[in-house]
Amino acid sequence: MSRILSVLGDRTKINTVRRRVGDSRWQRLGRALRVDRSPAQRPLPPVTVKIGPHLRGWHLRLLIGLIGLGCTALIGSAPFLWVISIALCLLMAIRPSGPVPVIFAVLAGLALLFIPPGPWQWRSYLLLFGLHLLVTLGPALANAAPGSLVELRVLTNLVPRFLIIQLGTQLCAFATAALSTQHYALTWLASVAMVILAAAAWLVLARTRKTLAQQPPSAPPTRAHYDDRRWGD
Amino acid sequence: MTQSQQSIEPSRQHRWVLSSAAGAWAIGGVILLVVGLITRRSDVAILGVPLIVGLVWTWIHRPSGAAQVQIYGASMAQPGEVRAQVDLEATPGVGTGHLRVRAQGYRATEVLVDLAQPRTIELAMWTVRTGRRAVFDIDYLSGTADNLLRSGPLSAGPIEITVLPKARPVRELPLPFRLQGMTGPHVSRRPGDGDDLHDIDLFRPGDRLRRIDWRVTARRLAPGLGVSDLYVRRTLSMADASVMLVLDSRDDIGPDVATWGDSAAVRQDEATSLDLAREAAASIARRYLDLGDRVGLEDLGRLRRPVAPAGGRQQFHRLAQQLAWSVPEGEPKPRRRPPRLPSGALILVFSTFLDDEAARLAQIWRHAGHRVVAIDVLPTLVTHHLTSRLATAHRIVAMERNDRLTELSRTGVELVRWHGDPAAGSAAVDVALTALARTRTVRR
Repeated sequence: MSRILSVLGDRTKINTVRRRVGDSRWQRLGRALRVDRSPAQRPLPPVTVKIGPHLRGWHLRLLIGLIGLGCTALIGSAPFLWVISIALCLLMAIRPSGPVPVIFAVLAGLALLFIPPGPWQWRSYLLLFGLHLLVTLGPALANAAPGSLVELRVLTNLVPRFLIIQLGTQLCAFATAALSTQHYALTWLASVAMVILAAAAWLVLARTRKTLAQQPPSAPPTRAHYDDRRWGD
Repeated sequence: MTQSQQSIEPSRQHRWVLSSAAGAWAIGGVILLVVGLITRRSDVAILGVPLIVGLVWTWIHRPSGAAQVQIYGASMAQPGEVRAQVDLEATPGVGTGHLRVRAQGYRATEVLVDLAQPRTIELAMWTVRTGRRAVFDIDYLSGTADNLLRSGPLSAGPIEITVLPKARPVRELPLPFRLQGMTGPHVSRRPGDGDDLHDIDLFRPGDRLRRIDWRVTARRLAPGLGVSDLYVRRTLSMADASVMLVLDSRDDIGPDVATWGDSAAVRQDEATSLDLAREAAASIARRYLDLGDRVGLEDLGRLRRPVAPAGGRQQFHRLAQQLAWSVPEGEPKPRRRPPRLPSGALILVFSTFLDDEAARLAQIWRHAGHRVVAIDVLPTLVTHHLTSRLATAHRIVAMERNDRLTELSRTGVELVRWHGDPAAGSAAVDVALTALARTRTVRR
């Protein structure tokens, strides 16, 4: 290797900064338009991972943002509400992991308090569906970068659980609506809560029993070694 | 073909933790339920139900065991698509796996895959580089389907794959000045047991009877006399060529001149000088071995024993492996004496000739009577983006190199340029090698 080139090559690390300052506008424009890129600046070739049908991460982030905006449209049309909602939707699209989708859901619930209570309408059921979808998709895509590939089976695996919980919740909402029209507001809520808690407790107990049943029996005690001394010997 | 593989130890994986979203689900659900109860708003309270129920569901169906990741692939490959497989095996409860697959010089790819059942995922990368390479480094994160529970990040790989040089077809090749032995694929200039006629001579003790040329003998008979002298047909003997490939593995430079220093890495989708040298050596060795000649290998970058000349298919595999394993190893030690090569062998020097060492050795071998062919493996350079300082330095180096090559030609070393692009360069290489093959300057 030529010493001249290797020495100059090392110095290009320092010269990069100087060169940027000294560049003409045309060179900068050329770089921006990717006309005179050096070979090292071209995008690197990707590693191919062969999976089934898939979507890009940013498709789903966009979907989350749109769901958030849709939920906002169901709540109301106050400008302040829209400003906060758009900010949160952007935040969710940029970073769907963490607590942001749940914060959005909580704020949506609190925003409902500013609307005078009325009978349950289709909007309420749709809002319940949308917010549940939002908080489910957010953590599921938590680790997926915008450019990553998300296999469609990941999403289809979420569907059964989502539908079961959603169906149960919608039934609860329907029962609530039916009861609330008959002025049993607090009574029904306590009843529904009790039913849900009882069901949850039953599931936990059943699971614990199943886990205990699957555990192998404890090992038989081993014989003491002949030269083991007893206490006090 | 053997396989190289890497796996994650199961003991390190058995750690499931709640994600930050799980805490948010619990707090958010409770807030919505409590606020709804306090304000007597059922539409608010019901929004908290899916969060609480979902969290309970995840806790009930939490994974119990460890997931296993195993990556494996063939230890040898050809330039082109290099492949490997990842086996993912998860216990019940694990829903998704997040993989980030990396390779040096390549853009990492992230995938979120379903892990409800054990599965195998295929990885691939396109390479024009050869040699020993560590590829497919995997970072792995598994979680439940909703990702509320997940295991810590783990790593697997990389696996080591040796990308062997690909032999390009070559039509004709030069032969050494002096062929050796009494058998082989080439016709030598010495009388012996062959097919081509040398001359017709008187029968002598030791000549075979079947070589007697009865027509010539009859024509030479004196009228009225019996048989006096017998004449035999003498033929040229067959011989084989000894070829030594001398690889200059001290340099491994890419087409981008800006990467010749240490400031930037050579791109992985561009063949370097060493890749070209490996390809050229493998192509030429393949052709000679197919003809039945003996080929050996000497590496100028290593002070080790050379691969002795031999023939056969096994020798090609040995040479290809040695070529793939030759890499620059730090600052090379200068050689006081040139490596000893078989007498009468044709010497092919594969080098960039950016310094004097390879050229000096080629001249010494030429002066010793060998036929020496210098194969120039410098890639087609990219210089349009160089700064003025680098461009000046490159111009100086290029001028020195041109002087060196001119001096080589003057001392009788023949020069061939090996082009990297097979589509455009094959014809030029073939023409140059054929011209050398048809040049007969010295008797064999």
